[in-house]
Amino acid sequence: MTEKPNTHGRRLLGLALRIAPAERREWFAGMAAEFDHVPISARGRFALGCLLAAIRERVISPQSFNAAARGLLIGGAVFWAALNLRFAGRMSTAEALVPEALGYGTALIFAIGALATARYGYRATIALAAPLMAVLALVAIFLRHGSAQAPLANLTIALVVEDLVVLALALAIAAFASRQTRMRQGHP
Amino acid sequence: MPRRANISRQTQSALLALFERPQEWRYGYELMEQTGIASGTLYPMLIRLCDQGHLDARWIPSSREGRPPRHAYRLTPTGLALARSVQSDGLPRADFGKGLAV
Repeated sequence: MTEKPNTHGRRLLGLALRIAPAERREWFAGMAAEFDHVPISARGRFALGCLLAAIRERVISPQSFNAAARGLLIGGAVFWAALNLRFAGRMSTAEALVPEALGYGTALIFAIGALATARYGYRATIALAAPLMAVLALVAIFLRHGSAQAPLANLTIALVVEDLVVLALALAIAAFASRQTRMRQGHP
Repeated sequence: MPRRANISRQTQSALLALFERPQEWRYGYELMEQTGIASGTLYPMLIRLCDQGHLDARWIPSSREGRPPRHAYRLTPTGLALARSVQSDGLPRADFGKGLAV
């Protein structure tokens, strides 16, 4: 009977050691060593606490935060590219050349953005999004105030504004995540 | 002067427990028993204190034959100053009762 909590406790501790981020392994090895000095009746709770601590450390570790933020940026860019491809396909049947071209162009740019973010991280997101926003803002102003009002100009402006909003969001996420990652790694 | 902002009551309890015998290396379970703080709360707290430079951690050979070394903790000079400021503010003394939760 006395072996049961011990066995379960060791399993929980083993799980905690696997879950804990690499930079905290020594602490969890310390908890595992301490386990032998905990009275048998309290070992289950002790080990469960260690497991909770490991999950907590894993969640707040810079690597997990970085992976989540990058995943959000890359997933968001791929999703937006797919939506634009679908939109461009619909426009091609309606023979609306400008929105169709804008849809394909946006899909291509966001696909490149997703690849660049996966390869180079937040710097790539920021380096691509910031100048692109400036260009799109100029296009929107030109379309709005241009002398020759092209057909479907309002739809095109709406698409450009949508892209601007999405890019601004991506830029904000990348800037925040970059700053947080630096802070979590101990660089102010 | 060490930073005092946002120190939880449990962190204050742990600091005061460590401050009781500042020269000694203390073990995790010993601190749990003394403060009533559960392992799931105590260890992350010790990790944070160590990251902030208030706590030293080291491995100490076990006094019992065949047992693995134990991880032990002691306040650094900045940790001592922090614990002193917690104590001088009359903030909650460590709840030295038992009753450990997860």
